[in-house]
Amino acid sequence: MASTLLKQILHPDSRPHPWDLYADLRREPVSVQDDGTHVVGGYEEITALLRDPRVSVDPGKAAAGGRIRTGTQEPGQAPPFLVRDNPAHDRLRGQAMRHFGPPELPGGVEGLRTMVEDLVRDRIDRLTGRTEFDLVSEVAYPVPVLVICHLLGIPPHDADALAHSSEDAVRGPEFQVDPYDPEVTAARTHASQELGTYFAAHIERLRENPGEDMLSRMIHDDGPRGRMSTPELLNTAITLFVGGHETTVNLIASCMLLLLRHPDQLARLKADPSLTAGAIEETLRMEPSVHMRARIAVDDIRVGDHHVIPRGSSIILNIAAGNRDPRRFPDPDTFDITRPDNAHLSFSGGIHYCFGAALGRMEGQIAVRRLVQRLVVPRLLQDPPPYRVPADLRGPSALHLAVDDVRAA
Amino acid sequence: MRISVDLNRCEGYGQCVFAAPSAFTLHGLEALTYVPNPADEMRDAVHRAALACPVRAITVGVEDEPTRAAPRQDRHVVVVGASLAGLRTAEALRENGFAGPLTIIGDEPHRPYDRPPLTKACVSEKLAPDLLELPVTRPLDARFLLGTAAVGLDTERRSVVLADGGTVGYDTLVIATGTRARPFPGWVPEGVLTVRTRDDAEDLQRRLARQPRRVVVVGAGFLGGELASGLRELGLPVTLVEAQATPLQGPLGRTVGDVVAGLARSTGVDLRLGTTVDEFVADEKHALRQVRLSDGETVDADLAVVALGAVRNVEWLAGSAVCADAGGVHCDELCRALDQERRPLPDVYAAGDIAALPHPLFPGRRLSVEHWGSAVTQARTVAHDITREPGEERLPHVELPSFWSTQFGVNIKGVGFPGAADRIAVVQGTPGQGSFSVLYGLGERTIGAVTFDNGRNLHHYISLVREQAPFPPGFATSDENTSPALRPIGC
Ligand SMILES: Cc1cc2nc3c(=O)[nH]c(=O)nc-3n(C[C@H](O)[C@H](O)[C@H](O)COP(=O)(O)OP(=O)(O)OC[C@H]3O[C@@H](n4cnc5c(N)ncnc54)[C@H](O)[C@@H]3O)c2cc1C
Ligand code: HEM
Ligand code: SF4
Repeated sequence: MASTLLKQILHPDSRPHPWDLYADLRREPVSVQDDGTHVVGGYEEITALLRDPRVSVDPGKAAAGGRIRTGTQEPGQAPPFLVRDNPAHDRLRGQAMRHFGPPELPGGVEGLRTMVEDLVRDRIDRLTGRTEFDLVSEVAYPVPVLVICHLLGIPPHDADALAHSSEDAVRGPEFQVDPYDPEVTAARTHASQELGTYFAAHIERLRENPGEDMLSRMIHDDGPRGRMSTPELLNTAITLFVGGHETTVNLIASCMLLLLRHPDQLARLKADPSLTAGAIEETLRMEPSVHMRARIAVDDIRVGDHHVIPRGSSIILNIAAGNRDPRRFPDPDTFDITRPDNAHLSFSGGIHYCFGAALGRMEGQIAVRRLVQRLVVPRLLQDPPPYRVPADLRGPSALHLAVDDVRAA
Repeated sequence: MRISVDLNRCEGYGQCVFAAPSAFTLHGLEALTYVPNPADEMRDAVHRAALACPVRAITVGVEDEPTRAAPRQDRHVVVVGASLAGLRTAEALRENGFAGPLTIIGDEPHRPYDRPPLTKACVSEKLAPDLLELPVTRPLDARFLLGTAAVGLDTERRSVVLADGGTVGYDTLVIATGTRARPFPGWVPEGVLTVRTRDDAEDLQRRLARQPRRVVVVGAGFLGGELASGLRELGLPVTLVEAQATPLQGPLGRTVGDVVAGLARSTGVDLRLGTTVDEFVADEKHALRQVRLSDGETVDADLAVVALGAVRNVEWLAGSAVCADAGGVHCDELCRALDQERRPLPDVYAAGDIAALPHPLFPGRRLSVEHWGSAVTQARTVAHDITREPGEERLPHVELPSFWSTQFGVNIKGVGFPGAADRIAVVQGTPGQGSFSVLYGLGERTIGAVTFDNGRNLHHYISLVREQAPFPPGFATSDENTSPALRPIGC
């Protein structure tokens, strides 16, 4: 029977507590929606589909009229590798990865550690003397934005305007209650144009005056896979900018939220900071920064014993539901920062596994470690907190805290 | 600290490299190597790496200290063969709560170590073979009798006879004596080696340090290809001699073999296909000087490595009740060793390269699989059956064989029984142009799959093999460079 479960999930009222809807989703391997979308919420099923060669990320391969809209890309543009299939995906990702991580630059992210530590220290220093503040606007938001600006050679004073456009630009049609909502579409188009204009000019600036940043190197370096074209550079830069901060903000905020909701876990972490990496993984599992991703079936795909996803269908993979699948994780709703075997889905899997996962993790680990160390008796002033609008990039829009004091670094 | 990575599980995401770049290295798209014993100051980074691995492939070991608890009165389990299968059996026994006495007998003087790097990082990265000791995830509390070969078995008296004349009694026996390198069929001078053990690899490293003029590798199977690839990375001139028409033709067929041949040649290997070694020629000091090939040519070389496969270590079982031959120890699906009448012997098991098991895909046949992954999964089957409570479910070994090999910058992963196929179908990408995947068919069903730098899709192909999906396959993939092709396996 066709369902409207996805629309309920996408509705803003579900933001604070989507978990019961996700449990409904897991009742079947595939939940077929009234608009023909196939939604998947089981851990094994998602794991398999992420690695299934019959699954595409290219909206151009979706059947017309579905939730994933064909032709959403502007003509003449080179879509980013996030929505490209192979071989283009591997080429573009390789051209960017060369300046970020292994195999060519294995220490690329570790090399950013001091910069991230400095940024985090500065943001927490600024809280000194205050007893109430919004953790999102003071720390969780600025840290990732400034890190990604550093990586892309963007002057910090441009960050705010860009981050503002980014928020509208990421409102993907497939994650709106009505994917054809003209208002959202207009806002997205406008925001994409603004980002496009900024980055086109920025790339030209770096072409003339290269810096030490990753984007400058992408512009100037002749790697073994050749150079990216200008439209490719533009969309790669925008994807890195957007992907680099919209997600990490949620991670830092959600981890502090979970720790403050579970004082026993916070106490353990305070006593043993080496548990920070585990706390970040458990946050990613329980409150992932990205709740769902979209895919298209390029062939009929059988899931479980009875369900067939027909060729051309839109697929929504609800990785947040998979992360709490009781068939995979014992006591999935329990926050346990020392959980062994925490193979969550929060950075996706298969060839589109998050490009920046290592950086996101490092930012999360450093921010949470220092916050836990320096905030004296932190308390939540509002629980549940207000949430950001998107259902896919779900996270608190503010996290109002009270503290007795902020310790010196 | 000791670590190991299950490279069958690993999908090459490189998250471990990001977190601990001095312990892990990614080569090309998805081939991983690692330092098996990172320094203690790297503990934090390695711990973060293990947590970050999306597929939980990384094991961080603990010290194998004897616990002081007195062994509970329980059966005495004796494992013969102190390598991967033996160690993993012991570990799984403890994990399942077995608290009785445990003895592990091995003829090598070393604690169990990992063999795959011997032809990979030990050559290309000069990794010291003595660092390869395998980690354990819990104290084994086992008595190790190392440097001691078992030479006989009496299943009536339940005792193992040792080379020094002593005996070790058991209640339950696990046979895990694996394989040894198949020697060259003919006379060999000084300077002609095989690589199966730590000591072999150390010997090879010493000889490589003396800068040989040219190395001849005999046999382009998995190990031969890996060796040739590593030697080229060291910049040494290499001749790779293979009797068949392509490398890896036996295990993977010619379509894949042709690709490997192309890769080998592109890295500068002097590849001689359809060629065998007629004779090794020595100088007056009985050291290798030349290799005479069946194509009439003679190659000047002062070092040769023979990689012609392996022979099962079954000799010590001669005369015992265990049914064993060149194909290994015959077992049932629970890894219980069979007697000459093909009945399970009470309390005798086999695991790893030595074990020949039936598989649901091939009813009526027994297959021995010389892959790392099978030693691990069979060890679990054995341990479960030994520690099973009466009435608890039996768990037959139904896992598909799976393997990996890295050579010439490419990660080759496979599953099932490609060597038994009669046709091969390209399903993703184009062989010879970067990443691709192939399926193997026997008659109308899919029995195997191989990916070249496409391990992130292997998960799907495993399920096709498991369900014996119809062959040839007819599905479309999202890869835009796929040139579907169907070919007989041998040409
Ligand atoms: C160089 C090399 C590279 C490899 N690379 C890969 C790879 O990339 N991928 C993959 O899947 N697999 C690979 N393998 C295969 C994998 O290492 C084996 O499948 C695995 O080692 C099998 O473990 P085992 O314990 O069954 O046998 P073995 O490792 O052979 O161990 C058997 C042990 O028993 C000892 N023994 C034998 N007879 C006696 C006796 N009578 N008494 C006492 N002890 C005895 C032997 O000395 C040995 O120590 C590789 C193997 C080698 C040699
Ligand atoms: C906690 C932080 C982060 C989370 C939870 C996260 C999550 C994700 C997820 C789920 C995907 C997969 C998309 C899909 O499968 O369709 C993804 C892809 C991606 N992410 Fe992240 N991300 C994070 C941080 C970052 C950072 C810091 C960067 C940039 C430096 C980044 C850049 C990207 C890019 C470029 C992709 C596309 C990868 C591809 O298609 O190959 N992300 N991310
Ligand atoms: S899958 Fe795990 S072990 Fe393999 S490269 Fe990635 S993080 Fe490392």
